[in-house]
Amino acid sequence: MKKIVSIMLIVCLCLLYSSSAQAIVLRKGSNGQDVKNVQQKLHDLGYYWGAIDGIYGSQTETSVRYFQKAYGLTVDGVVGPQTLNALGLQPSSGTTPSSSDVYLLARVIYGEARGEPYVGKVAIGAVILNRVKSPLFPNTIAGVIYQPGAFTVVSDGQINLTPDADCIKAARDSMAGWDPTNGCLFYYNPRTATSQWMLSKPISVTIGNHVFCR
Amino acid sequence: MKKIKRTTAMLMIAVLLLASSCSYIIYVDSQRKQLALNLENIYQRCIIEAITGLQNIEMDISKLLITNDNMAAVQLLNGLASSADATQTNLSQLPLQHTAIQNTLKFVNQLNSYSKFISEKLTRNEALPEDYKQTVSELYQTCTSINGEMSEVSDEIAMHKINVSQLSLNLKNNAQNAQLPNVLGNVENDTIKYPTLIFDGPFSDGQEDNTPKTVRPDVTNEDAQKALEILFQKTFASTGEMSGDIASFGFKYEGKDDFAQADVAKAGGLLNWYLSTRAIGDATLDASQAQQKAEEFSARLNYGTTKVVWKEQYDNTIIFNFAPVIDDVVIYPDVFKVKVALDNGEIVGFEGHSYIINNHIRELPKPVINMEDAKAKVNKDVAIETNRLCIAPLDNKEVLCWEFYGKLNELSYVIYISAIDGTEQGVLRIITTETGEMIL
Repeated sequence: MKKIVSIMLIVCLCLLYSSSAQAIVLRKGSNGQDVKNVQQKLHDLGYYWGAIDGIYGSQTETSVRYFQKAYGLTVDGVVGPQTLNALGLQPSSGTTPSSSDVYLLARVIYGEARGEPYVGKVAIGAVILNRVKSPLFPNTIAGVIYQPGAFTVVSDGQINLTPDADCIKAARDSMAGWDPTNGCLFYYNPRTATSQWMLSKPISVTIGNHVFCR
Repeated sequence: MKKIKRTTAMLMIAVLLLASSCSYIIYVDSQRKQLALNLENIYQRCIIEAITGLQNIEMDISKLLITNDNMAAVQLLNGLASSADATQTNLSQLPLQHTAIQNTLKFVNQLNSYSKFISEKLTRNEALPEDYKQTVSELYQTCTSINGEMSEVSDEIAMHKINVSQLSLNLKNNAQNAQLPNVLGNVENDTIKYPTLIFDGPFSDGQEDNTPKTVRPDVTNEDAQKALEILFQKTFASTGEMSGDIASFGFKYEGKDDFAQADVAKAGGLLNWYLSTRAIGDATLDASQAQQKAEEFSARLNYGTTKVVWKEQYDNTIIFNFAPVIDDVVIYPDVFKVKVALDNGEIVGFEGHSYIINNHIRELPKPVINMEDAKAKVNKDVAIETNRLCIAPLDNKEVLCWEFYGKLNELSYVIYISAIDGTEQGVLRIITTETGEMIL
């Protein structure tokens, strides 16, 4: 019997993730000590005049862009390893490990379901998390998402688009345990799907343009 | 003369243009070849590591069959778990149809989890499952057959006959129903027998059968709708039925600038989940006011005595995790979540999957270990702040535990000590962020 209270799920997911070192990326919506450090450094260098509050808002983003432009870096308003390095900063160890998972999940949701109703977006996140829990699939969120051929948006690069706030919210809700699919592992759009194997599976639920099955 | 000069100049420009575009094409092509080679090299490493991983697994299981020493067995099992994990990672990166490798993935995932389960039993000097020896020999048989099928692949790989990156192109072009053009697609076939593994751990067989523990009488669609409308004070419309872990009736609510969806379990008419997609404005409530709203809602569910055990804040909402409390024991497996909007205190989300699946009448055991004795089992350097009794969901079983909150070197932890045998069952880390607390 699957008896995973969401607390335990979060625990498992985080355990899986904490074991692998991850490149730190800060962007609008990030928060914590790392953001504070970036703000302090940008302030010291004269690029930032806002509050050093650890919240990556529009003002921080604009300052990061100015800094990136001045230092000849890619101007994207996102603090990745290069920008962090140029700022002379090391990521602190006390960051929120799962925020990057939420963002990765949001990117897939945005690619796969940006035109879908909100519940349909949460459902995509839930399918990915159901796969992490299933022995038939890889055991990490990134493993499931980047399994070759698993998601169209990964194959065609749409995963690299910037997700909107709605998709980030949907990713968070699915991480918090909402599963409108009731445990499904697969979904497809019946108008475009061609796989006989997929079409032969009994349908659990239809949400928007997607059909979900186990 | 002038004309000849002009023609020569034109000619030279043409030659220059041709030469530069040629060299550009050559440059781009060499870059492309280099990238293709880099990719192929990664794939080759994955496939070779997957093959050797499976061979190591076979070797280690065969040693496990013969060893007579617990420590040696534990070492072999730990090695097996990590080989299985690495093999899973490598296999799942290969550009193959999911259906072509799913049984092998399941095999290594289960082997990983099962090895940890047995290793822990041996380390704690607990009795092994009765069918342990039988299971290990079945696992060995399966692994041998997989490796038998793999041998053709490994021969072709050794002679560098398989271009794996080509497969990734096939995978993309032929979408779902592509036939793999070579031996890699035929590794999994009907001749391989996979054992059924049932044990207390993740990936155990039978977990798919995730049905509610309590048999509750079915309600009608109308009853479900009525209950939902009383709970949320809104008028819902039926959207049909859904199957799955919890067979449910679907409903939706469409307001002026508000849309919500909900599923109500057929069995017992319990609310499975609810989500409102209303845009939430700036916060006017603080956490304690929001908690009051959540508690009022929780009381309306009639789930007995419940209390907030955890909260998480994001997007101007707070999610309160409630757990039933019976005789001062917190029942974690039955946790459910209530999401409150901080702009007007409305309940904008509910998640009750775990409650519906796990809630049943429990015979709560009496603690064998008292609080002081359990506390003595906790690392002496931890400054313990609070304690309580709880039922903790650990893999596939429920354990009565003493739960201790404490700090060590400025870091916050929750430690679970079994109230039955005093063993440490788990440690969680708490990280405080601007958006609330996170349990890791």
